[in-house]
Amino acid sequence: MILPPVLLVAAVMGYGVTVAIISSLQDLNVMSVSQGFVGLANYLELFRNPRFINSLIRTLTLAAGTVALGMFVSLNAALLLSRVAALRKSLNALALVPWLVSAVAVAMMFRFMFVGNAGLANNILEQLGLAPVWWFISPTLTTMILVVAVTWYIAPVSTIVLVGGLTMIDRHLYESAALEGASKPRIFWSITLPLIRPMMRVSLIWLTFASFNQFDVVLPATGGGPGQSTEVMALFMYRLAFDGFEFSAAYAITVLLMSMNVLAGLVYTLLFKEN
Amino acid sequence: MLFVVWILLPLSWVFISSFKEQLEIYTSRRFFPVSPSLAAYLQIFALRQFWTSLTNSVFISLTSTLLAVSLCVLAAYGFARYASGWWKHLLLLMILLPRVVPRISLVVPLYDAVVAAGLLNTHTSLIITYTATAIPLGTWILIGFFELVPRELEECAAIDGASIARIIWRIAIPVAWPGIMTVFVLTLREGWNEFPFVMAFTTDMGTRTLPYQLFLLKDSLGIQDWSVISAFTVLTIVPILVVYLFVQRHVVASIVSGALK
Repeated sequence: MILPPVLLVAAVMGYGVTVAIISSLQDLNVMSVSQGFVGLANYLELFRNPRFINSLIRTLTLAAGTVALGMFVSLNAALLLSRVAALRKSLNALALVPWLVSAVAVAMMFRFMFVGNAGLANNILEQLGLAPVWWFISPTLTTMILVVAVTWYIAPVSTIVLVGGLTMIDRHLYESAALEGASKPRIFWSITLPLIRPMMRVSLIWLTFASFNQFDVVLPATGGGPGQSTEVMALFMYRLAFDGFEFSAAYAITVLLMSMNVLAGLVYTLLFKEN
Repeated sequence: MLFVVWILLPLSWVFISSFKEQLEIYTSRRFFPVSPSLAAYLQIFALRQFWTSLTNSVFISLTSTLLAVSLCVLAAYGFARYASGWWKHLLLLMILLPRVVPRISLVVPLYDAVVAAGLLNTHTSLIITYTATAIPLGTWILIGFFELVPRELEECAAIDGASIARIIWRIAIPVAWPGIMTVFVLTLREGWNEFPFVMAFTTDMGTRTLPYQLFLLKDSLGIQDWSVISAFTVLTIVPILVVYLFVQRHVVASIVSGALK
C-alpha cells in the first residue's frame, strides 16, 4: 500500500537526481572526443564561465531581495490578519489568492503593469505630471520588479504559515505584558518573535527555496534581460540544455542548485536550533 | 487597506484591461475602460489553440490530481497505521527528501528519460511527472491528518468485519476530509499552473497546456496586444480560483495548523 507511491516517487524524482549527479561528472558533448567520466571538470569549467558567475550573482540577488521583502510582507500581513476580528476568514482566504495564479500569469501581470507605453505604472506617473520611465531597459529596475512579482506570488504561503504561529499565542501574555508597561515594539521583540520562531523557520525556508529556483516568473517576465541582467541560474541551465545542447554544464548547474537548497535548509536548521 | 490593494491591484489591472480595446490601452491613461468590450475574449474563443490547451489543461491536471490524491491516501494511511521502527524512518526519508529537490532541477534529467521512453509530446509524460512530484508533500500532509483519526473507531469497525479498504473509505477519508481537500487543491494548482515540464516535454500544439499557450501568446503577437494577453490571463486564473473558493476554508485551516511544516 505504501510501496507503489514511494516507488513512483523514487522512479521519477530519485531517478532524476541520480542521473543529474552522475551526468554532471561526465562529458556529454556530442562533438567532443573524450566522452565519459571527467570528474569535476564540468564544475571547474562553470566557475571559469563569466555567464555562469553572472547567473549565480543574479540568483543570489533575486533570492536576497525576495526573502527580505517576502519576510517583511508576510510578517506584516500576518500581524494584520491575526489582529482583525471581522472578516478574518475571508481575508485569510484572500491572502492565499496570488499563490493560485500561475507563474506565467504573474509574469504577464507584472510585465503589463510596468510596460513602457501602456502600463499602469507609467499611466500613474503621467497623471501625476511626471515623465514616463522605461522600466525594462534598466537592469536595476527590472530586478526590483522581479523581486516584487516573485514576492507577490510566493509570500501568501509564508503569510498563512505565520498566521498559524500568531494565532497560537496566548492573548493573556500580551495583556499582562501591556499591564506591566511594556511598549509595543518591546512586546513584539520579546514575546511575539520568540514564540513564532518555528513558523519563521518554515517561512524562511519556503521563501528561500522558492526564490533560489525561480524560473517560471523570470522567463516570461523578462526572458533574462535586459542583456543578461536577470538571467538566474535556473534560466541559464535551461538555455544551456535546450538552446545550446550543452548538457554536461546544465547537469552541473542542476546539481549546484540542489546543493544550494540543501545548504540553505541546513543553515536555517542550525540558526533556529533551540539553543 | 494597503494589504488588500497589494493583493488585488495586479489582478484588477489585468481584469479591467481585458475589457478594453487594444487601441485604448495604448492611447488612454484611464484605469477603467471608456466603453467596455468583449472583443479580446471573442478573439480568444475563436482561437483553436485556446480550446486545445484548455482541454489539455483540464485533462492533465484532473487526471494527475486524482491519481496523486489516491496514492497519497494509500501511502499516508499506511505510514500512519502500519509502519514502525526503522522501516518508518526509511520510508519517511523517501517522502521528505524529495521536498528539497526543486522541480526545475528535474527538467533536464527527466527530459532525457521522456525522450528515451518515446513519451515526448504525450499527455502521459506530464501526468506521470505531475503525479510523482505531488506525492511527497501530499503524503506528508495526509499523515498528519490520518494520525488524528481515532483508532478505537477503526478497531470497532474491524471487529464488525469491515475490510481495510472499507475502513479507509468510510472512516479515515471522511475524518481526514479537510486534509484531502487541501492536497486536492495544492496538486490541482500545480498541474494547472505548471510551466517548465510542459515547455520541455512538448513541442507541438496538441499537448500544450494553458500556461504554455499564454507564454507563447506573448511572442506570437506582433505588437503586444495587451487586451488579449489580459483576457487570456484572466481565463487561466478563473477556473482554479473557483475550485479554490469552494474549499478555501480547509486549505487555509490546514496551512494555519502547520500542514506545510
